[in-house]
Amino acid sequence: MKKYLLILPLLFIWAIGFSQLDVPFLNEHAAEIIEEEGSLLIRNTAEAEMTIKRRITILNDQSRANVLTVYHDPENKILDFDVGIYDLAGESIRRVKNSEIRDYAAVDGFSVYNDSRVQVLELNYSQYPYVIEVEYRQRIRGINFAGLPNWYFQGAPTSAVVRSHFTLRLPSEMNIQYRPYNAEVTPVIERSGNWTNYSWEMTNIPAFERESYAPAYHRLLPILRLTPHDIEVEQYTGSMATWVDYGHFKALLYEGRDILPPNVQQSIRSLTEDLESDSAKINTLYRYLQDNFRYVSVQLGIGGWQPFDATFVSEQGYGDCKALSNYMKAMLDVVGIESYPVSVYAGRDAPYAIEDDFVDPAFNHVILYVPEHDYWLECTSSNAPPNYLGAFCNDRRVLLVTPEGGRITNTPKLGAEENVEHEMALISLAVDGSATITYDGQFSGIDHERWRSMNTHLSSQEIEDEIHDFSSLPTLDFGDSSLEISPDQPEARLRFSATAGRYAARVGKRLFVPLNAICPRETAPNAVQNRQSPVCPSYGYTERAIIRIELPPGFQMESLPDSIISLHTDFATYELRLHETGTNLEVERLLIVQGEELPADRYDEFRQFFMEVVRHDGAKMVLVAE
Amino acid sequence: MDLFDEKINLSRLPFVKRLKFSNMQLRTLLTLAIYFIFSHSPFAQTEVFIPASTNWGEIPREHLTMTSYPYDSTANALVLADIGEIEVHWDYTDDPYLFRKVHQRIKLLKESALDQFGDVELYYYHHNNIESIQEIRAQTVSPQGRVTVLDNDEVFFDRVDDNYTRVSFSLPNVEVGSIIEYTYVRKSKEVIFMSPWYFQTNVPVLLSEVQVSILTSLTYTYLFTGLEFMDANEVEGVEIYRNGPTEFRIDGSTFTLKHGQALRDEPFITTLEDYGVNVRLQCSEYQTYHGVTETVLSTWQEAASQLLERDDLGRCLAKRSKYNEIVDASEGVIDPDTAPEEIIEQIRRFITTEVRWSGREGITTNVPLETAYERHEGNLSEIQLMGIALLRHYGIKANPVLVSTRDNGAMIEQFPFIRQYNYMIIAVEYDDQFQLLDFSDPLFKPGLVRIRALNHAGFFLDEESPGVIKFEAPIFQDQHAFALDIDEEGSISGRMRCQMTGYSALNEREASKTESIENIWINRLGQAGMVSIHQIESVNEENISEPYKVNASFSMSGTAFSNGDFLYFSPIIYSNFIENPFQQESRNLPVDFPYPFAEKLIYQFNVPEGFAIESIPESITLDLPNEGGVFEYAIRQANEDLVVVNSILRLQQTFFSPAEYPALRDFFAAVSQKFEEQFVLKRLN
Repeated sequence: MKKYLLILPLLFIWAIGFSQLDVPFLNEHAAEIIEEEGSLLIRNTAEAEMTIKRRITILNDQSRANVLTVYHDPENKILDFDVGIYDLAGESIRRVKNSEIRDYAAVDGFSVYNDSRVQVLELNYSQYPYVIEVEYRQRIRGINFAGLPNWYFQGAPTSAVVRSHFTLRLPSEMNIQYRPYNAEVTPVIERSGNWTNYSWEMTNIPAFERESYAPAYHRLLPILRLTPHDIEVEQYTGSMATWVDYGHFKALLYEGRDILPPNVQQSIRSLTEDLESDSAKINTLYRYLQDNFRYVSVQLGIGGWQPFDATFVSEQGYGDCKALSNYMKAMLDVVGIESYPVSVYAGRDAPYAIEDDFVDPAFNHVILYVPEHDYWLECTSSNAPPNYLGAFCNDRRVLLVTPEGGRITNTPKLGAEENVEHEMALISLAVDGSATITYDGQFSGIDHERWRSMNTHLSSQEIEDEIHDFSSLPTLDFGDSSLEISPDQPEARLRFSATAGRYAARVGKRLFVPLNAICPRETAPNAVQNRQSPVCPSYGYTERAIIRIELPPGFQMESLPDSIISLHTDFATYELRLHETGTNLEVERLLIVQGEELPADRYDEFRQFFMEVVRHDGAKMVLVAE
Repeated sequence: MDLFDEKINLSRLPFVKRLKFSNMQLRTLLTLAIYFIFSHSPFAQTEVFIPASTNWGEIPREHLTMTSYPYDSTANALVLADIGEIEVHWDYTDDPYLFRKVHQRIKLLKESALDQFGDVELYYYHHNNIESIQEIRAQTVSPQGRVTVLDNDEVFFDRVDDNYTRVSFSLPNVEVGSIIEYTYVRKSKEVIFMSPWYFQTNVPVLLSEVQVSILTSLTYTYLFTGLEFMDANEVEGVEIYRNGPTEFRIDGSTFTLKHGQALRDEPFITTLEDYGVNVRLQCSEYQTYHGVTETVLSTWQEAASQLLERDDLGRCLAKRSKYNEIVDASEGVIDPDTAPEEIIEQIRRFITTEVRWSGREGITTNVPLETAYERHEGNLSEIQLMGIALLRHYGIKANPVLVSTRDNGAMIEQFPFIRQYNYMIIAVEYDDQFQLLDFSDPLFKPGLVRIRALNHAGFFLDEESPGVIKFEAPIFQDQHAFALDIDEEGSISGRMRCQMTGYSALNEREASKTESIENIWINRLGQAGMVSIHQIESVNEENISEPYKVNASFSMSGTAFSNGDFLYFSPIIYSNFIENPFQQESRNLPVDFPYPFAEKLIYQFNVPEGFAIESIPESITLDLPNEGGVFEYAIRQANEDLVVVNSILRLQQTFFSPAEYPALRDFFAAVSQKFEEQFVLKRLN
């Protein structure tokens, strides 16, 4: 195994000395105090070197800053790594030995294989506070050079930062873009000889607590983003000055990798020759991809950005997101339909905003776009409907790789109109509080996704267990249940009939009957004092329900809640209506949440709305035996 | 895992090389009290074809075309064959080696199986070249019989850390209906302690067979688990066990399971492997050059002697020079002239503040005790051995106890299978008292060990009388007192005083390290977001020898509700048992609680002005059979406006067989029902 570590003497020159607990901006959210200097030396268009010197005062056992992690791979070697532990007076407690640093494969949780590794050093000392000083240098090459590391003046909300200083040194003829976020900083720029030096500094950044419904960290932490203009990655050269340029570079990596073997081309033609419309051809080929190829992630070096060759994918029957999108594109090429690979940050909590005028390849996934038909294809799913981007990729800025270069656009948004639950239930109540339930629910958009996924991954028995979890229904004894998933639309329909031994609680002569055990909202946002950040709900949705409860014989109504509740705001609507008709009670419920961001000062209003919803959804009627 | 150490390899034992004649195979069949019961018994179904041979690539038509497994229609895959050949023989280096050849053939029946079985990961212990994996072959056979062979370049070897290498590959061209097949050989220097062969897994198994051939002078002890509830039979020297469609045969040194059921998880169990059929092997004898039979670890005494002779275990305590520095540091901190309890507490405090647990488990040390002390960090065994060294130094009788944790599996008590132990605790004896200690966490007071280690038994490594010891945690009682004021709208304001001891105090102290007590109690008292806490404090958060207490005042809405002239509410707003943890109608596996527990509740509330009590729940007392547990719930109206609810729930029994399950389920259902019962208040006219 290669040795990455050389111990060099500590050469720390700090602006201020030890005994630094006397920090005026220290608050109860701080778990560590940080002083930090980073310097990035860009040697040329292919290679850089980052040096980090960090002094961390660990205040208490809530701090995770005692765990040092550095990711590396053969292109991005750690050149030296030196760590010591001190007490507050600056007395050395001990030097850390190389043997304490553990080197692990960096398991990303989905790749079958990647070559990235991580060095982890967990340091502990029994008496708080104590000080860790760490210094390391790392070479930066390959796609990590192109996606140059950004500088975090504050790396975590629990860090109180006394000083964070960052310098950038590069040949004067090289261009670089930089942009600060959540930070009012301007660089000091100096030229010396053929080199230009930039330096930025922030001081006295207090720790903070991330509030619930807060925006992503990239809107909260002070960050400096950096992107080089000219890049060389392995044998490829390109520019990242604009998205157009970056798109050309990406296209270069894809070049010549989309040629299908002749026999495959032939079978694609025969699959589609009888089809009239382009959309039928796209759908057929998409199904062919889903049925015959499987998602497997292997990421090695430039393979992080470059797809496997289409021929390899046809032989192996698998590929990662790039390879499967590229394969789909190759198939569409055979039938004359143009498509573009799309780089996207999938999932929640993107690390950065995608800007029109600042190139930063902050993406983690590739999908495919068919411009002529405005079609989006998620090529790694074996069961998604064609032209559907769900919670994973909807409503975000993405990069299209077109023959004219890169272009930023938005994926379609799934909102309150698209994410709909429509549920009907007939509940026939018996005198002992048990009930028979007949249920019919239709789900669309993001709300249907869990059902589609369950249908693929779970047995019918396990799905029945999930039904119990998604509602607040008591334990059910299922008569029959059916889950239908639309192959072509983002829709699911669940029907079941079941009996519940204890639907209503019988106490003495009374029956306590929940009005809505089908889809009650059971939680409201937490109380937050002095709200700082805007309110960011995850997405918009609509819930409609009609629940008819047949009352058991021999009972009369003791009490019933108000028969009309109606709450209207610009961010959400709630209506609950009760209709009493002889031996039936019908409950009609509507909840629409727009999912739009609200300013911080409206948090209490947002919270109050949902507290009211929880209260009304939890209402019961009480019946008494005659 | 630290046991895979060259020191214990047979190659280092005297005179065992070059003796290749005898092939003694003594088999000791022992069964464990482990339950193995079937959920479904569809006996009258069509037989699934099991071929006589499972040669590579020779797949019967029936298996290619099969679309489901009749004995388990919900299965997403079926292991058609899991064939093992375990051999111990010499390799060219003259050292004995274990060769374990595995051939897996799996039918993928549903989409969800493609990723579950299509991506294969194997791990081996490369440290000191103890293990390697070789001769990997894999292929996918389509339902039409088309074969795609895995390219060798697509097999990745990857050092995940200093000890383990991961081998990973993805089967090519898999689809629903495919059969995947792979084989590999694991070569290991570790011939004494072998990993068990598990005949069952989380999908059904059509055929699992392992053949053991030891072409040396080694004798192995075999131990089978999971056969307890099968019908036993012997035909011409072949032992046959049956249960429903399942059949297990022991024929010489070939062991075969047919139609093994899928093992499925249930709450409150130790680990699933405890409940399936498996076989463990451990070398018990070898012959020396002179033909003398030597036994290896066949008695608890011998196993203990060998472990105590190891440099990374018993010998750490052999002489004071091994831990001199630690003793020196402790002097002045520990007062040798006090009572044993006090000395133990002082040593506990000293070790747990000076040395932090690295999170690594195992029963052997990685570095000398003094080094771990200097680093202020140690693995489990380093920390416990430091503790034992100090305890002995100050005159307390202390010994290691080796444990197999709950997630690692029940301890085999019939034979010292060393491989099973993954945890170490300390046993001390003083003044006729016997107490367990665990210094891996400063929150464990004497008598408490990590919950995972509460697996009923351990290997007591005492020099004079080593052996199995049984232990159970004592019962601890929590007490929660609430005083509530309710207004006519149904809003509640209240005060609480909660007191926890034992494991619940430990859990509370741990939880409060990562979350504020305010957040913890907001989420406990009511629905999230519906509770406001006005003031809250914890008492004895650091002082672990005293009960942990939380006092708070709060208000909440959504718990009580008012309809017209009525006000309804259930005052028990917090208890650990409001929800019945046992929702399942029946159960296949026993319930195994790690420790017994008791909870006492005192709730009092004021009837709001202008209201009178219309109806209140009845007081009840419930008992579990055999004094396993008791629940008492009593309501007292202290005066017109004050109602007091007293409840006590005590569960003494920790192990419940599936037959006892209905009683347990109904007991908790009744508790939950009682706690949810509504009081009815009515407005006075």
